[in-house]
Amino acid sequence: MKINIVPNDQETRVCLIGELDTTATTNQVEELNSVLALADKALEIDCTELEYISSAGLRFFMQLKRESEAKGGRIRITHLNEDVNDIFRMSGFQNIFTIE
Amino acid sequence: MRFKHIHIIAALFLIVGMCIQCVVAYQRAAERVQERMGLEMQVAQEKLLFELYDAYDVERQLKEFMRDEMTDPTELLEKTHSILKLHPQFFTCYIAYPPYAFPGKKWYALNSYRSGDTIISATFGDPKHDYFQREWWLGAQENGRNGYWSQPYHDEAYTEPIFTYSNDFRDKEGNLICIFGIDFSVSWLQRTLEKYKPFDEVVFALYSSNGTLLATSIPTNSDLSLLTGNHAVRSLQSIRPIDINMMMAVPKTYIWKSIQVGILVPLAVFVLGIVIVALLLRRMARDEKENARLGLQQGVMAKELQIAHNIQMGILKEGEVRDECLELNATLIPMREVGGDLYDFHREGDTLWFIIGDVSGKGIPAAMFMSATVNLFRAIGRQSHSPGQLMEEMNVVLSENNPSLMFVTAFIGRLHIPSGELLYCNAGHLPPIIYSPVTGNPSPLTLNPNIPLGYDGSYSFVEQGCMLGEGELLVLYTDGVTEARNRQREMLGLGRLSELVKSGRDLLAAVKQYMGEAEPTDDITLLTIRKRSKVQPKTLRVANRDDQWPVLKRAVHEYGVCVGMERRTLQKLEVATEEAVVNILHYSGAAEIEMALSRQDSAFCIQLSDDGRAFDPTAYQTKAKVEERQIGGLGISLIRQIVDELHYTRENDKNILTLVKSLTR
Repeated sequence: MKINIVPNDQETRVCLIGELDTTATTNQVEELNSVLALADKALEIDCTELEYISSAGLRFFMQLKRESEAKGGRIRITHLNEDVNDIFRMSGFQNIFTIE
Repeated sequence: MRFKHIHIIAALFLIVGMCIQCVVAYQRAAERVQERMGLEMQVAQEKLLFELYDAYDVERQLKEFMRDEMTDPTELLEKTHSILKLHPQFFTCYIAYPPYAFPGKKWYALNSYRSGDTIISATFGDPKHDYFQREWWLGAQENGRNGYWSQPYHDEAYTEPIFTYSNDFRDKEGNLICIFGIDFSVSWLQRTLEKYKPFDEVVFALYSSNGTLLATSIPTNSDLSLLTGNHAVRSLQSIRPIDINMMMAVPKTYIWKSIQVGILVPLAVFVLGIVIVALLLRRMARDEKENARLGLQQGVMAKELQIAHNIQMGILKEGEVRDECLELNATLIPMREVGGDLYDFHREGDTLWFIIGDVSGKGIPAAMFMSATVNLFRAIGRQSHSPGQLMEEMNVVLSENNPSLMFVTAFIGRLHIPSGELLYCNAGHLPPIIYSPVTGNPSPLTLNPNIPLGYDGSYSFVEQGCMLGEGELLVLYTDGVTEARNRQREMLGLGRLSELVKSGRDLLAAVKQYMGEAEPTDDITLLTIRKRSKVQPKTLRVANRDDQWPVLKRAVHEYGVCVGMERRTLQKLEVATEEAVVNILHYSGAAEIEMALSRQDSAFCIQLSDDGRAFDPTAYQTKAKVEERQIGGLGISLIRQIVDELHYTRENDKNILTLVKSLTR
């Protein structure tokens, strides 16, 4: 799991690369927290290179959404691949996120 | 000091040593000769004294005979005659009387002398022969009783020089009765002494005390320089009681000649030895230099070959894959340190790509072409869709910039592991053997040979395909295998190889056994691929820790590939498994998790057991609204959506959860 953050005045782009699973959410808390810290901003979560997601990863998205709503930020998820999109669909997350 | 100079100096030392040896040997030989001559002359002198001293005996006898009385002269003359007869060494024997011992006769002497072989007896004495003035007459009287030995002299009566012993006979009153004398000829003396020459080359001479040459063995009219010059070795001996010196001389050339065998032969041998040793040393030095150079070169070459070998073996990957659905063995034994055979394989999901090949030629050039081929296969192979396309792409690259016109025969295959679909393309390589334990007949794969890689970059390769059934074996090999010879020089051949394939033995071990001690004449490469007849169940047991999840995830992925699960379905199943495992990890308090993977009918079964708190996910009620769900609940929801069947049982205080996902879409 790798995270690239590209700051921008209008919208900060956060690229998630690799697998967002139990291993990533347990071992890479700091990196994920640095994304949560941007919750007050307008964020684009670019999932072009996100290959795998499990409920642990979904929980991160949930946390991010809650923080964002609390701090007046804005989130849009872009470029989900089919596999990850399937999980979003199965878990119902499709309905609570802006997915483009 | 330079090595090559040492033998020149050694040779110089040896030559100087030999010269000294020569001189010393010569001097010693000369001394020996001189000593020998001296000894012989001493012996000669001793013998001579016997001869001369007979004169004393004769004198004594004669004195007895005369007894102070006047004896009849006729009788005395006969006596002198008989004395000469008895003593061949005497030249004359005489008795000379003083003046007027006989009436009317101023001179009266009785004399016997030799003339040739006869003895002549006569009286002598007349004014012409006034013997009273003679040395022997005067000397005999001067010398008292001891007698007188004269110097050699010439007497006009004889042709040859003589010397004389004389003594006076006196009566009781001391009046002179007569003078007794014996002459010896110098030539007799010479003959007598000459006999003692130690060897023929010695010349002999007699000298008077004043140095006059009296006689010599050298012929009269030849060179006398031997006696005086410095090219002879001489030995002198004075003869007592007469005042004569005898001399023996030998030419120095003779001494040189005598030591020739003793000196010149060893000298020649030595010089020859030195020359041989010098030549040998030179040769050795040259060889050593050459060897050192060659040794260095060979060392460097060997080291570089070793490095090349390491690089080549490094290029080839570990030759074994063994999992639930596939068994792959690859071996390459290079004939030399480096060879031209090659193999490679890689797996992408449920697809296995493989290549086997043989570069023309051997050694480093072949190895370089081999590594180029392998690297191309790796680089292009990842993006390729079919073996034919890959072969063409490789051929284009290998045909370009191939000035040494090397080529490689190759066989590329792409095996879809779950279905057994095999696509392949052959570039002039030997047809692999396909063997089905069911039909029991190994047979070469039907092939379009195409052409080897590296000849013609524009060639269109024909791709072919077949099915590799469960349990079937594909044997790829290079000609090093079929042409492997045993100790009887018989080739293994395709027939024997097929038999070995049929026997089910470890092929490499069998080929090695066939060869025995025989050296391989070519690289030997074997690549065998077997699609396992039935996917074996697999069980893993891990500690209940977060960091163990990747282990389980990888196992599920690999097994899924083996059983031929479609990639996207497999990924969903991985998510489902993760959710189930995470639940155990986080909520069960179990010590360990056991995961059993198996294929049942056309489904992939994952069974998770844990010794934690009892928990039945199948009975869990999920909340309708996403935001309100517990994370654990979210996971269970996902599992249910993904898998086809979910079973839970509690057995022996263990939670047993089974996830079943169909392999058919």
